[in-house]
Amino acid sequence: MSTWTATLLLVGQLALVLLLAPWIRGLIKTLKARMQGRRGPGLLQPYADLMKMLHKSERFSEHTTWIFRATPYLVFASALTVAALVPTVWTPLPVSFVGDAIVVIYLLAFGAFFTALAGLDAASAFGGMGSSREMMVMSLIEPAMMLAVFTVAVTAGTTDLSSIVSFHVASGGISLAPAQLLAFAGLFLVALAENGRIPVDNPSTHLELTMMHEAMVLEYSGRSLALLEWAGALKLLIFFSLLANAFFPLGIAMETQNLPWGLGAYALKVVALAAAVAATETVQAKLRLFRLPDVLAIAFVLSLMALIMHFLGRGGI
Amino acid sequence: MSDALLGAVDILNALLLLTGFLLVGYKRLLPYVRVYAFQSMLLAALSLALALQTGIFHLYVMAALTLLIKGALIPWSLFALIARLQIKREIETTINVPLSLLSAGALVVLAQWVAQPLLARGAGGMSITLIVSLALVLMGLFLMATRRKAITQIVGLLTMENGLFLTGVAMTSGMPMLVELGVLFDVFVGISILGIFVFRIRQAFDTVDMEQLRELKG
Repeated sequence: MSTWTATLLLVGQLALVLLLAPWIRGLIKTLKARMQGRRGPGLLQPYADLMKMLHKSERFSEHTTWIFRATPYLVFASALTVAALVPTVWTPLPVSFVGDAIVVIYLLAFGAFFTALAGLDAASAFGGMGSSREMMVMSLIEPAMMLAVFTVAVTAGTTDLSSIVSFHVASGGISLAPAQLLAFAGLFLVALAENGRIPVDNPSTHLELTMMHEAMVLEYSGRSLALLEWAGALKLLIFFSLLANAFFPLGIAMETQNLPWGLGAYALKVVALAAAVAATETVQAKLRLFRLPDVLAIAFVLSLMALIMHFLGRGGI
Repeated sequence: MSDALLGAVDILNALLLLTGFLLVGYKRLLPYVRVYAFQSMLLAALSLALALQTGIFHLYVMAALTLLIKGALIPWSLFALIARLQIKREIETTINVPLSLLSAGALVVLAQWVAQPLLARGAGGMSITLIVSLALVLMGLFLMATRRKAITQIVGLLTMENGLFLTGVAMTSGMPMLVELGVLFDVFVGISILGIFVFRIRQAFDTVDMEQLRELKG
């Protein structure tokens, strides 16, 4: 495809993801509120919050170093790069040569690493607590995420995300093999853990002792906080895109004339996943910290079983 | 097998394996019994899919009976037993949950290894069903060995029975009706008797923790 088309597709994807991410957060909050009998803060509230935070001035603690100031930009940049690599509405992404699934996993880990460092940097007790909890969850959930992504990659024979999605579209669009379903379940649990959703972490808590992700970004204000919140919303949308398109890529556009279909299919899948997350958050309670390894072990074993079932299904390794 | 039925059987197999892992990984008693009820419903659905494909009448009857007895009656009696016993609603295990889950994973691999010679003779679209059924039997046995409360050991026994039923469905398109009916009513009567036993144990020793009962020897 021509350079013009490629550039337009890239900019279009980034714009779509950047604009859609806060709306998805608002949608999950509104759905949760409706399920609990409240009205919720409105679907456009996250945009208003971001605008408000961007206009405010920042204060940096005098105990912080360059890590504290650089982290929001690093986290946002890594989230944006991943957003350019994960297929959302059309599949052969123009910059897919930049990185494959493994690069995506490590870029997300890069962002989490720097957030944990920034939590420690402010030398406050809550920041350190949040960082240590987050690192415990990450160390248990990274293998699960890798195994789930590897299951999909081994089925398609490649780790390049665009090729994986194209392969699945070519082989039917919806794949119901037991290995794929188990990997979907494992990746869904990973998405809940990495984005700090109930049952792993309460995203709307205001009690510092129960915070995990919020504790790390407690010291931020103004534009840095806006970037961190936006990057968090981006990460959630990226996981939704992965879940939707790596397992059920039916309807994704492969030529430019199918773009409206691709957009509609993507919107439908993302809204369905947001409803699933909202339902999970309403039905479950947040787990005690020492119960977390149990749930994360379930995610790991599900992903491991998915990979093993894939080889079983072909009649032995 | 027609494509739609094949897809449905695949989903049901994955869900059955998932319920097996949930049984090994859960620590609360009431959801435990609910997962068993859900597993029985999945079993009924699988028999129904096989009935639709082969058209054998007694499979429809078996699906309905499984749904009724194993999906509704037995879980209801277990809930009644738990309410009467008034025990703590938490499951105590002899090994911790992550290790149990990894062992369950190893059992699935073992089930696949055991199923290989059987699969070599060809089982059509039901090869994964056979592996899942053997895995359920092994996981039921594992549950009986590593759980301390009597109720959870009963559910382990029921899981083993589910796995055996599924093996019959996978390998032989359902056993003769008389055999199935006999087994089903045996299971129901067995659970009632076990319930009475557990209640008596609780009355006599004030606990249903099987680990503590080991020290009464000698």
